[in-house]
Amino acid sequence: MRKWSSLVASTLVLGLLLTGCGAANQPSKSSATEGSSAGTASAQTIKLGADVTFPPFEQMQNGKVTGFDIDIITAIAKEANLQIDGDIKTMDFQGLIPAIQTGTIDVAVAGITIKPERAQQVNFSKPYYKSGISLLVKKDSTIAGVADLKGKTVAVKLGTTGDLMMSNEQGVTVKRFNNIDEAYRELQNSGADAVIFDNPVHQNYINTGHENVKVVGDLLTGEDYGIAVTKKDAQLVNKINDGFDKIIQNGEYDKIYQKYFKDDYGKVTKK
Amino acid sequence: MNFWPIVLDAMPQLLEGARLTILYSIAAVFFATILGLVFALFKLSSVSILRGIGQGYVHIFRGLPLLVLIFYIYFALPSVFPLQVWFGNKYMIMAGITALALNEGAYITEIIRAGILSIDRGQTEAAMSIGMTNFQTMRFIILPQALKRMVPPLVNQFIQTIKDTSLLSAISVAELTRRGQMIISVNFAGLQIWTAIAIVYLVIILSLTALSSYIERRWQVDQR
Repeated sequence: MRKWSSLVASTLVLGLLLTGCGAANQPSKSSATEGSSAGTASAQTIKLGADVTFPPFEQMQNGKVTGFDIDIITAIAKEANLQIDGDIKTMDFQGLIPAIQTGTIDVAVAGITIKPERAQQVNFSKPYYKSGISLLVKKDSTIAGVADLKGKTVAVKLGTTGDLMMSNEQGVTVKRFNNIDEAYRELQNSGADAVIFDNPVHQNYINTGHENVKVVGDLLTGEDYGIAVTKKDAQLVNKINDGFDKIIQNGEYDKIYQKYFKDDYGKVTKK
Repeated sequence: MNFWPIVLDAMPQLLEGARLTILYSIAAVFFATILGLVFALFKLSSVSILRGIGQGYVHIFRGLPLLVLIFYIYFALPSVFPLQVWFGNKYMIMAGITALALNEGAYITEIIRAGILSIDRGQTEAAMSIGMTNFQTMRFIILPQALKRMVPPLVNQFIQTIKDTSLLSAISVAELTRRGQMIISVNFAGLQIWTAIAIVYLVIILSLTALSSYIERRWQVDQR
């Protein structure tokens, strides 16, 4: 009996300790470091995080993280005199903003849509790509739009705008996966009737040998992608925006865009 | 720090997840115990084919990480056979329970086999000498005694099963861990939610521990 009550007591103590922690979070020291030499501005180092299952924005190729997002942030870092520290930290999409909150990373790229709830947790750069989410179904499906999803099953990636949108729809069964390739596999295996995700990724999926699926309906939302930046260093987002302005002016943005996209649907420099 | 409002708000969803965690655990343990008993007896059998089958089962399902097994049953197999079409929405549940049962069953096989082997040969000899068959010996003499020995490691394995259900989050089962991830993806309150989830798991598992302590006392497991 004694052993039992001490088990219960220690659990309660653990719970209370953690609630009682109060505002004693980490002091807001910047996790990025400044160079020390006087006269020359040394590069500030930033820790970069990325998802790797979002082609053509980011993916693993031959053991390296590559993609549109990676090229953009690398170009911005060069113009803004920022140094990306070590290897890019790869993780699930839903872990990126928590990782910025805890200081594990300073900056994240993952085709992250700028949303007010997210903007409360992190700073966002100016938009670098205009996107929208759309519906992917098998070629022989009778689904033509969101209205046809009642009573059906939709596969989404956890934490994305497609997930949030479907969570608010009545009568739709939602299956949430950590990676979009699992959602696509679910569609192929007939475990889901549709996948809702960012349109460029659907197009990339179709173009990489998956001809038995199609996009139906209009784009469901207009989404701007932004680079997520830690609030712990209030100036960092401004530096990144300055770097972004420079690569727009000197044409580097357009060059990188053309490398990855045949259309100019998502270009922020469209007239 | 904003703890209780966030946690109380999330509680209904977390408890719904805990309900699924418990249901999957019970189903998995039920089938795993049956598998464990069958394959333990196979491994102890005098028929070499049965022994081989028993060993093969344990080698394979102890030799695969549970997450890999879950992915294999849920993503790989349905791309070969139209399992999702045959079973529809039930397939996720079946895949989850099957993966857990196969994996846990391999460990339970070894626990049961060890329990049976730990019973002194004299018991078997005495049973045979009064004319009991193999089956009667096992059913009335060996297994009841072995069961006492197996309670601590079996409880261990049942607890492990409860924790293993968190891996089902990877195939979109909305159990406790997955619920936490879903909530955090909206409110970003990682510290509060994970703390709440940790406490819920502790409550579930410590309840099981309390139950097993009670059983151990009732059955006098610590006496020969």
